[in-house]
This record gives sequence, structure tokens and C-alpha cells, in this order.
Amino acid sequence: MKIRALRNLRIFILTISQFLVGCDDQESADPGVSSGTSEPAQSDLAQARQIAGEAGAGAIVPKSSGRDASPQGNGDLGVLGGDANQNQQAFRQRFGLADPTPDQLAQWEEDDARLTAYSNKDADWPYPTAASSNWMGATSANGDPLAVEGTTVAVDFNRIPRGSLIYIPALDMYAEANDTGATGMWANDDAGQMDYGANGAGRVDVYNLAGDRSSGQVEQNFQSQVGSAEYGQIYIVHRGPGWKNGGA
Amino acid sequence: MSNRYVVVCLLWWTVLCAHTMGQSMEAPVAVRELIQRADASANVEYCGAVSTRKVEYYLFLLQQKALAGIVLVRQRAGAPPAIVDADTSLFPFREDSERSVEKSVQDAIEVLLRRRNLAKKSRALERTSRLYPEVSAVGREIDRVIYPISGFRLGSNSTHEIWRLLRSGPTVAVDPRTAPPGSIIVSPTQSSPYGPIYLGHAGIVGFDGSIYSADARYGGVRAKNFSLTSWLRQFSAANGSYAFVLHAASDKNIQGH
Repeated sequence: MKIRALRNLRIFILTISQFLVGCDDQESADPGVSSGTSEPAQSDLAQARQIAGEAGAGAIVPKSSGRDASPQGNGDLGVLGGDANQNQQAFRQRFGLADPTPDQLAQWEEDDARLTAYSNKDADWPYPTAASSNWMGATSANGDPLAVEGTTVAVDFNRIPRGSLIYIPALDMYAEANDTGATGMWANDDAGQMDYGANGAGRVDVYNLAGDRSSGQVEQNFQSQVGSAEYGQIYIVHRGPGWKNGGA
Repeated sequence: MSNRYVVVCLLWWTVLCAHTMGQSMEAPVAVRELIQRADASANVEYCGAVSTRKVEYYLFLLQQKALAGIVLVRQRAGAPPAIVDADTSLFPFREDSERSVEKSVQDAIEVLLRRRNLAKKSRALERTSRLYPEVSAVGREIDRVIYPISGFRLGSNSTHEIWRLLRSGPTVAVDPRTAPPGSIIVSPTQSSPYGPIYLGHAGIVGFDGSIYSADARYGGVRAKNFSLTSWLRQFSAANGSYAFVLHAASDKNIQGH
């Protein structure tokens, strides 16, 4: 009788301890992010709001207000080709895109990126590219996110899904990531660079209509415009093509 | 006059610690390669060496955009160099056996850092002491905000120490993905003996999903330099992210430093 009681007691203790151990497990759907299980009291939250206000009061606010103080473009995309400005404008109007606010920039995903130029004068441009069927002879200023100057960029689709909407602060330009060009080829050469790190979008080639310019002149003009030795930032406004349906 | 006094003091301190402080102008190739490999994207600054009878220590500063940190490398004779510790601050020095260093080495490291900071005369240092031995101000910038309001302060610029203090202090742990404004968010530095190093950081969540934290690009002063989204993306996988709301101030919560 004593033995049975002891056994029952052991089972009870084991059950309780397993239950308690189970209560300690904090499930987190996102590895590396701790899921808090406690709720702060109202007085704690009131104090926290005071702290949040004070934190912002004396702080430096970089121009882009995002993760990095990215240089901000002046909105003139003429360097990308003759119709780049009107193409960008038509693109914005069609999809209801306005100059981003600091709050929007703070919410969007910001990535390091290698900002480079490609053009219809590039001799080594591999054909067919993802968007070449669009941009060969289809550079009309219709606002379509085809490969037209002022709206199109080529990206590594392994890093930025095709059809994503991105914003390039150095150019003040929205673009659809709808071409891939040679970005895959460059990925091997660029491996180890910061734009290919965990927070890197890799190479972001901005399409230029060369006009009378050579391929080299296009690249020089572009680098002067973005004001960097290729390194820069982009924001991914929306991953994938869903933004066209109001997802942006 | 005061500058001259400080320099004289440092020179005397250097003489006193001469048995542990080396004069090498640059670190050996193997050590430099280790650091470059451990954090390829950071700017690396060699800060000096400390020699003991059997072991050489090399001190490096890392800066990676807004982040700044320190790495201590140990090289024993005949053995490959290994990272002893890496964080936004080495103070207080860790006590655990693998990462601990003897007191004389700790003192020498502090002298190296003070000497480096004296030479730099960075903007952050001008705001405090010229002999400040820190290279990151993650804790100091949080303390500037929270101490006058809550009476609680971290008193450390080490992400590991900040994390420990927040876990054991008068706080409520909250989910960082939904951390309310005013939460303190911390992602402790992670490193292993042969790399990689993932520098961590700590800051305060603002009203609009932004985060305010010490920014090395601005001499360590507080800046609106992350969004909650970009923070979690940058730190959660390698460092882990943890957020805490301070309990409203009361006498029992106040931590004196």
C-alpha cells in the first residue's frame, strides 16, 4: 500500500514537473527572436512612451532616416536616358507611388547594394536576359514596368524576387526588378563584398538608354549621379509582384 | 596644461605596465588575416599589443556602419591565433575561464584604449572624459535617456552585459517583433575563437517603428539609425534579438551605479 502511494506520488510529481518544464518553453516562430511572454503593466507602458519620446528628442536623424544615411537623389533621372524622367513619372502615377516619407523608409527593408549601370550599348550583355523580350524595341514611355530607362533594374533574383518593387534613394527612383542581366554572373566575383553579405541585395544594375553615349560613358555618368564607387543602398518596398495589386 | 598632465600620466602608466605592453607597430599576418576573415565587412583598426611571458594579445577595433566594437586576439607560442573576446565593450572583463584574461593584461588593454581615444579625440569623447576607454557608446546613450526617467541604468557598453542586466533587472521581456515604443532592444555580439564575429548592438525603440542607438558614424552619439524591421533582419539570425520594457520607477527598482 505504501509502495503504491509512493508510486502515485512519483507519477504526480513527474507529471507536474513535466507540465512546469513545458510551460518554460517559449515557442518562437522566428529563430533568433525571443518571444516575450509577459505583458507590461500600464504604468510600465506609460513610462516606456516617455522613454521613446526622450530617445527621439536629442537624436541625430539622418536624411534617409533608415538604417543608413543614404544619399538622396534630386529626382532628376535624365542621366538614365532621354525619357527616364517621364517614364518614372508615368510609373509613379500608374501605381500610386509618391516620394517616400521617413516613416515609410523606416518600415521598408533596406539593403546594401552594388549600384551599377547597364545599357543597350553594352557589348557583353548576355542575351536573352529575363526582360530582353520586353525591352528590345519596346522602350515606349507608357509607364509599363518594362525594361525602359527610368523604371527598370536588373537584380539577382536569388536575392530580390522577380517583380519586386524597389526604391533607390541615390536616384530617388522606384523600379520594378524585372531583369536579371549579368547579375548572376557577377555574384561569384562579388562574393565577400558587403553587398553580398547577409544584408546585401547584391548587384543592382540600373537600365540606361545610351542614346549617343558609349557604354563606358553611360557608366561614368551613372557613377557621377549616384556619387559613390558603386556601393549604395536600396529599399525593397515589396517583395515579389504583389504590389501591383495594391500590395505596396 | 591638462592635456600635458594626461599624457604624462599615461606615459607613467605605460612604464609601470611595461612588463605586459608590447611595442609592435602592427599585428602578425596570421592575426590580421584572422580578423579580416572573422568580419570581412568591417573596417579594422589595430590598437596595439600586450605581451606576457608566453602569450601575445592583440587588440583591434571594428567599425561596421553604425556599429563599433573591440576584438581581443590571443596568440600562444606555436599555436594559431584565436579570438578571446569580441563585443562592443570588453568592460567588465568576463570571468568565465575561456574568455578571461589576467588582471595585468586587462589593465594594459584599458591603457591601450585610453591612449587610442586620447589620440582620436573623437566627438563622443569630447562630451565625456578624454580618458574614456570605450569605443562604443551603446549603453551610455541608452542610459542618457532611461536613467533620468526610470532611475535605472545599465552602466555598461557591452552588449553581453546589457543583455544580462536587462534579463536580471526590473524589466518585462517582450517580443521584439512587437516591442512597444520605449522598449530597449539588444542583440548581443556573437563570436567564436576562429571567427566569425557578429557585432551586436543595443538601442531604444521609438514611436514610428524606428530605433535610436549610438551610431559610430557620428562619433557614438544617438541617432535614428534602424527600423525595427531592419534591426531584426540584421541581427536576429546571427545575434538573436531581445526586447525589454522597464518597470515604472519605484524605490525598489532603482539600481545605483
